[in-house]
Amino acid sequence: MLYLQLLIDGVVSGCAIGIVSISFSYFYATTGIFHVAHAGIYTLSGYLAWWMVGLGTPFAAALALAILAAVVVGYLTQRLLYRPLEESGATPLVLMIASIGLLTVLQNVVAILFSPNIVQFDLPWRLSHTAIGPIALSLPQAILGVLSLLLFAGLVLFSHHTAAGKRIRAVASNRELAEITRLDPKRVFAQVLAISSGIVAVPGVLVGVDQALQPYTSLLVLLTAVVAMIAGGIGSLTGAFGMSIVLAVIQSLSVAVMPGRWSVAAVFGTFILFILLRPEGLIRSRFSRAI
Amino acid sequence: MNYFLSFVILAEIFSILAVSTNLLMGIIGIFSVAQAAIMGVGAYTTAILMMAGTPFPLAMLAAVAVCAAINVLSSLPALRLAGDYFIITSFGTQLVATAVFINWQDLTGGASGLSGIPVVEIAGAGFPTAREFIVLSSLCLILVAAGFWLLMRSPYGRLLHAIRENEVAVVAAGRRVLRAKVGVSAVSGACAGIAGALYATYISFIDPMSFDIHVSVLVVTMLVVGGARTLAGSIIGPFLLMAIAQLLAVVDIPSTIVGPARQLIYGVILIAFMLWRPQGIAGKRL
Amino acid sequence: MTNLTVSNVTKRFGGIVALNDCSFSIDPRRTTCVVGPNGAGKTSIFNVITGFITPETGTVAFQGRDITRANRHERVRQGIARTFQNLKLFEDLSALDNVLVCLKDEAGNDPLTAMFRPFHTAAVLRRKKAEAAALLVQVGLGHKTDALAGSLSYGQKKLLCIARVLATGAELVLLDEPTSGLAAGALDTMVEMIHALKRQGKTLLIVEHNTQIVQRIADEVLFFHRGHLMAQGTPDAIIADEELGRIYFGKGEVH
Repeated sequence: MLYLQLLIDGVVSGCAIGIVSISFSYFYATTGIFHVAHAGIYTLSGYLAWWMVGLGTPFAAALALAILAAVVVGYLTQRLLYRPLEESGATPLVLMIASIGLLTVLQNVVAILFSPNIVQFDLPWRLSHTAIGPIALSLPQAILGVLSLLLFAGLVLFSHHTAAGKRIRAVASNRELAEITRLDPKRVFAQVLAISSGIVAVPGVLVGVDQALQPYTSLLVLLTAVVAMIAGGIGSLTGAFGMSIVLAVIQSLSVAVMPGRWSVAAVFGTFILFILLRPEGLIRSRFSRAI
Repeated sequence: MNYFLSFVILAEIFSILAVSTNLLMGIIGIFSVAQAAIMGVGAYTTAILMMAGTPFPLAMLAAVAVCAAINVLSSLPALRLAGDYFIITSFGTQLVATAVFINWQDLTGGASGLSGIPVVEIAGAGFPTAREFIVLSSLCLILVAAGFWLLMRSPYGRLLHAIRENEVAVVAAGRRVLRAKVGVSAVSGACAGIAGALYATYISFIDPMSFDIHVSVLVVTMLVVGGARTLAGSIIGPFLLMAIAQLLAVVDIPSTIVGPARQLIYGVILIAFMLWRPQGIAGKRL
Repeated sequence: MTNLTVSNVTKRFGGIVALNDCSFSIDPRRTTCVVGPNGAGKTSIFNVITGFITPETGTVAFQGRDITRANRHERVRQGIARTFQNLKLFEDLSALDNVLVCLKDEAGNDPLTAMFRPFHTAAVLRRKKAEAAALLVQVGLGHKTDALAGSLSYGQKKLLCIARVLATGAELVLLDEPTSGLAAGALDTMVEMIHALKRQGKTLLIVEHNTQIVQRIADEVLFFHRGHLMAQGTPDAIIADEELGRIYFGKGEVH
């Protein structure tokens, strides 16, 4: 029974990581920019929702406003940071260092404006549970699971079945060609980062509701998500989402065999060992973005 | 006076660490955000050995060897392939190292760290306070700087620059690229080991926080501000940023947000330099 | 004694056959031009010989030794070096350093010697600089030693590539389109350079599009088409062949 509960917990947190993973992957596969600051947007949206709830805003409205804020921050990041850098001929290394700078800024703005300490949402319902047979699921977990699956399905549908989504994929697959055919990659990139940021706000808020908020932990979430993206094959949304769940379940179940505090080291240790031994990756990726 | 000496000593230690990062990021273009972790390994190695009674020179030598080996191991994926993986490996190395520092309590003292690291003694001469220690740290910085300078002006230095510029052409010229990269990351690790040994013995207290990701990002910021690829850059950056940290300590802000405020300034500096001066104060464009 | 022997080499990329059962050999001190339409497999055969791609079947032997699976840098040591169509210069390094990095001599190329034997290393550096400078003079870039490679004219960049490949000390030199994109004056300089290499006793394998230049430099021609080696012969014989002419220049039109 314990294992079943750990499995379900793993799946739910895997859904959250999966959303982080596909939103990161969506931008990365399109632009090649290793957008570390994605973790900062995740953190920022969580704290914004927490702050609004504290002011008495209904939760649904707080979530919507947090998503909106993330969309704006994402859009501005592309317009005011990545685009000028790319126009000045910055290397991928420079872009990533700038992104690390933005992550640092976002995390610490959160720490200064809100709180450098761990905070929890003041929502009575966050502790209520639904029991399905022997498994207990908290309400935030249930919402998180459902919304994650919806977002995942939504992004896949958007990417493959709408004109805007197809335009984005066209730009991702061939940027030079896209420039010639007036698809305007620069505008597309800003749209993609806005979409990705809006999506990542959802787990940013809901994981915070389910557990707690802390300004500096999101980098770990992002890195797990990126590991999943690599293992699942860069550019594949389904691969990234699926591998996120697999990784989270492994991490969750590992608590049964070793102390939880070692699980971070275990996940990354395994990954490092793995790519040392099999540098070509689990699934050979189509992209090899050199930094 | 002691306050100023302490500032210089710490800036010197971070200059050594900046040289270590410069060799990877500036010279051969391998991304690294784990140099603080490598320095941490050096610091813990030195501390543990000295607390067990090993004399400082031996402990430092061990730290240098361990750090060189770990740096080669952790950058091996980057050495073998260019691509997405090693960004993760670098972040991953940093996070794993911090987890190990916190969790391997028997060896590292866990979150509370190790305190009471013995004073450095070399051939009867002690270095108990800043006044004496500055001789040691300056000497180490001079040695590291000389090493860097000699490396860069040798045929090997030219080979490293060539690898950054066009690896395929270097292979086509019959050079062993992997061997050259392993060599430079060993040297880089050794520098981080020296920095770690000095840090542990000067502060005489180390904990996981001293070597976490924020410190690694700080070192990257120092390098970017000073300027990559040059020796001057690796020294100007640390002195300048440490000075900013000192100034901030004078400004009257609530103690709870001193840390975040400092980090915020570093982040803003990092972005500003990338946008408007990617070559830093005295370096070359990354 | 044969210098280079390529036997039954086949390489596919996905569905495309880049090289199909190619066999030929090249004698020492001869200049062989590789010709054929775009996509014929000219650069692929270069890549197979220099180890940038591994063939699915077939072997490559150099001076009697099988090198089909040898590392790229080992082949250079054994005496095979190449240039690239897109040059691949170290743009931010001086012309001198571009050549210096490619010198055959491994001395001074490890960190320990560089740091712990500074005087020895300085002597090595002086020697290598002199060698590299001599090579630059040889290709006519003696006045450009300290200029950044990126600042040179296109013709000078191509000559710098020749100096780099000479620095490796290779006997068999593969030049990938050495004359493409050159204006008349620079083109003559390059042809003269190729003749000078022949006089030095180098074995040359050259991808070349211009038939007039092929006639000026080649002892022998390999004609590739769609991955097949269609013909091997003297330049005059190949150019006189009407069928090959049709393949090369398009239907019905023979130059």
